[in-house]
Amino acid sequence: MADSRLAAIQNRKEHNRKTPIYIVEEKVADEETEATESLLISTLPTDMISLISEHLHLFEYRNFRASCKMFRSLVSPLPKTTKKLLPVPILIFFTTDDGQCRMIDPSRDDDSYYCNHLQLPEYPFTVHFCKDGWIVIHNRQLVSLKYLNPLTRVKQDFPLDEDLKISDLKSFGFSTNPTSPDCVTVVFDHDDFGLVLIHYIQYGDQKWKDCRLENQVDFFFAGYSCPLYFAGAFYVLGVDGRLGEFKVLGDGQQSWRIYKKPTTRIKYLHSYHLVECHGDLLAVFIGHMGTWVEVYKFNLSKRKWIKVKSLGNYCLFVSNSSSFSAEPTEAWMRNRIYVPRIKGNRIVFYSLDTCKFHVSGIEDDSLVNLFGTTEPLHFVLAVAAYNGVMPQTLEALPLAHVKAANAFIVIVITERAKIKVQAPVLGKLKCLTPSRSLSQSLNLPLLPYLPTLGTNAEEVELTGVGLTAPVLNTSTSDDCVFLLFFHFQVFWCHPRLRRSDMINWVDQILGYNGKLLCVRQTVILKGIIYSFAMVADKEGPFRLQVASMRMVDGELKVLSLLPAPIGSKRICLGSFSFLLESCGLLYIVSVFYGFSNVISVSKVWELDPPMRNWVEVKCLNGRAFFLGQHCSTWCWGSDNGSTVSSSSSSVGYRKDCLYLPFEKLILYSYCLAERSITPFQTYQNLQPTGVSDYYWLNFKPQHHRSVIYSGNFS
Amino acid sequence: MASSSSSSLSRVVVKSSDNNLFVVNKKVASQSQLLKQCIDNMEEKGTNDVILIPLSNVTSNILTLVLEYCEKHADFADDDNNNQELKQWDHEFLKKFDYATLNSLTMAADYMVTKSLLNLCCQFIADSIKDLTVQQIRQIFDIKNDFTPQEEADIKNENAWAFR
Repeated sequence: MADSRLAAIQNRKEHNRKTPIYIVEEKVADEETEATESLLISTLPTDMISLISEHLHLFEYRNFRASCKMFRSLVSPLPKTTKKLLPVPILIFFTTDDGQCRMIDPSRDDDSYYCNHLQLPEYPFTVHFCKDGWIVIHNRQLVSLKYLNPLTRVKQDFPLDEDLKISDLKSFGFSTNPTSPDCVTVVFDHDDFGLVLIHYIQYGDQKWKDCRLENQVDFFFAGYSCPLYFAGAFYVLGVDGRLGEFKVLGDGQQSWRIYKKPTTRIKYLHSYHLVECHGDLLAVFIGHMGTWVEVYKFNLSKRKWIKVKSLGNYCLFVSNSSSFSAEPTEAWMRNRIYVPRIKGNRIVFYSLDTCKFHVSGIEDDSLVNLFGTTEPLHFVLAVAAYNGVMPQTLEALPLAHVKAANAFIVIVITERAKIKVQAPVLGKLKCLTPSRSLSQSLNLPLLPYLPTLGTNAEEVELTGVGLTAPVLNTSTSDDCVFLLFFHFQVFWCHPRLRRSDMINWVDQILGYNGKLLCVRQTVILKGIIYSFAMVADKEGPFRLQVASMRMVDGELKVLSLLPAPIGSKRICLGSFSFLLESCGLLYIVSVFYGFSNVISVSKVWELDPPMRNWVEVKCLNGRAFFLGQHCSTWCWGSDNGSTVSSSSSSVGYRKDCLYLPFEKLILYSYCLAERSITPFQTYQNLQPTGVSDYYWLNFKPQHHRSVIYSGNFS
Repeated sequence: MASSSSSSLSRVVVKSSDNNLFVVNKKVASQSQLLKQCIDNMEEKGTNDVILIPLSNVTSNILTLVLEYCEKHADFADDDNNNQELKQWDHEFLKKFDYATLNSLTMAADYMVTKSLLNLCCQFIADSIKDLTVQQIRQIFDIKNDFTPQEEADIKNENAWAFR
């Protein structure tokens, strides 16, 4: 194709020599046309060269940079605009006729093109799984199974056991970045009797563990669909449409349960996929040759399927080795499900608007089903994840200076725990993501100045921190905004991971309808930041409300204020309220401390965010809540979970239990049903590293300010 | 009075580098931020004279093309429905030029601050890079390879997606 274009260009040059297409019959300087027969990009002003580069796709971008020294110096190693950085997955496949590798970028309205950048192994290989830029490939000749990142070239072999029938591997998945020490890799298989057999391996282990569930009677075939790691568990769809849930509980314990299928229609499936979209667990079912397509959402707290009619601003990319969701910048891509099938040189998608299949670029024509389209022999949906942050272990961090946390991050201020106004510098800020080893960290620059609270304030208090994306290490994190709340003043920045030296802090005052809002405890749910907001009202004392905020046009905007439920108490001596997110819902927990430090009442309210009414709940549907003044988190609990800490290893957490800090250094567990409180653990004994299931990051205990921090509950 | 002032400013005269004069409708001229700025400045001064804007960097033939583009876009400025048609027109518009013209047109668009035309040109150039190898890029754009073989090998290795 490129050759034909070259020929066309040559032809055009010939043609132009004969008939110049100039419209004005002025004298044309002949020597000028001779000199510029080819487009001399290098003669263009330098800023225009970088402007052209911004229009290039990732692969071309790299080629462009590689063509000469000048371009290499003018164009930055990574595209400036994140938009060009593979905003949606690309489909890479091999053509059956010439065996060439081609790729399709669904965000470009054109046909496929050659992908001449791949360094392929000499032996045939199979791609089993793909997540965040990592792929798992199996090489039959070499009898190897490995994960690798094609961009960073980090790779590692999985150990091979005799039990692991490598040639049959179909349903393969890992929980997080495979180089992260808390990563769990699973393979769903079945034994000769059709009972589910799960192999799993933890990072660093030399041997796969087998999970044979003895007392189960249900047959479950995972088939070809890959599992999805979601909210601490692996979910996998069976060939019959039922949903399996697998959890590694630690200490060699696992749990496996099967939920019923969403509809009875599921018969003769073409394919079925699990995908995480905007904090929801979605299942996409495609009927035989695309005769029908249905999408369901699994409500984790109610364990129920809900039919999805529209994806809103999102689009899905499904395949057996990987499925993704994306919020595309191009409006026409929304509400579509891209399938790994091709007609001509174009990708096929299903539109939830028209309820029909279409071929990308030729939207006017619709397909009744998938007949007439082909599935490439061998393909992979790949997302490039630029992950320039070096892993850092917890041990290297000065723990004593951890200042604040929310569900996803910790800030470390190395100078002092309390920021003094007089202090010229703030010290170093660090942003971390929670995992067993805190493998992601990010240095933030100093604040331009320290906010003061009126004139009488001696000290400035950091009341909340937040991130607008749930994790730092995804490909979308360039859009992530990092927020620091100092009462009603907020500082925010875009921490571009690769260029942390270029971050600028922007500050603004947070207000709503002319009233200042003081923010505490932030929670991120479906792209919206929720927090407790204290509204200063001239008439009365501070009223506790829940504010929802979002970054709009480079400004943090308060979308709405919602009164906290009647009966919840503002954060004051003797009572505490905690805000947390769980299973896509918002929760407020109010705890009332009675006399002599006994918890008298504890109440929990639930809110489904578009709605505005809080509903009091009496049980947590099997969950355990971990409450802290900076952040709160949750995990699934069990009947026999412990309410008392055990020194050896975890036995899990009691369901319907609140774990909360109380009385300085002691952590209590409070059972909602029994209304009983038990001292759980003192902070000093908790090890922030090692085998414990989660972290309670401790810092100087003055002011009784606790930090609760979620690790990995698997 | 008011009518005479508005009529005097409904057209401007643009002079190309080779001293040809073009009479341009104000609405068309406004597509170029450079011309718009000139007109606005003059209007602020309240002059009734015909405005003459000399463009020392743009030749007649290129200016004709820029104005053709501006005219088309001015026609469509108030009409949101025909975006697809305009897109099509844009595409056809650039297709017929040789690279020398395209080069000058890009420069002119930049000089005259016609952002949409500049973006269009850049996109067009970027599209012509699609699917090309490094060698082909060099060939088409007449770029001299100034890397040493070692550097070249390093870059090639750095750019590849390694599936092995």
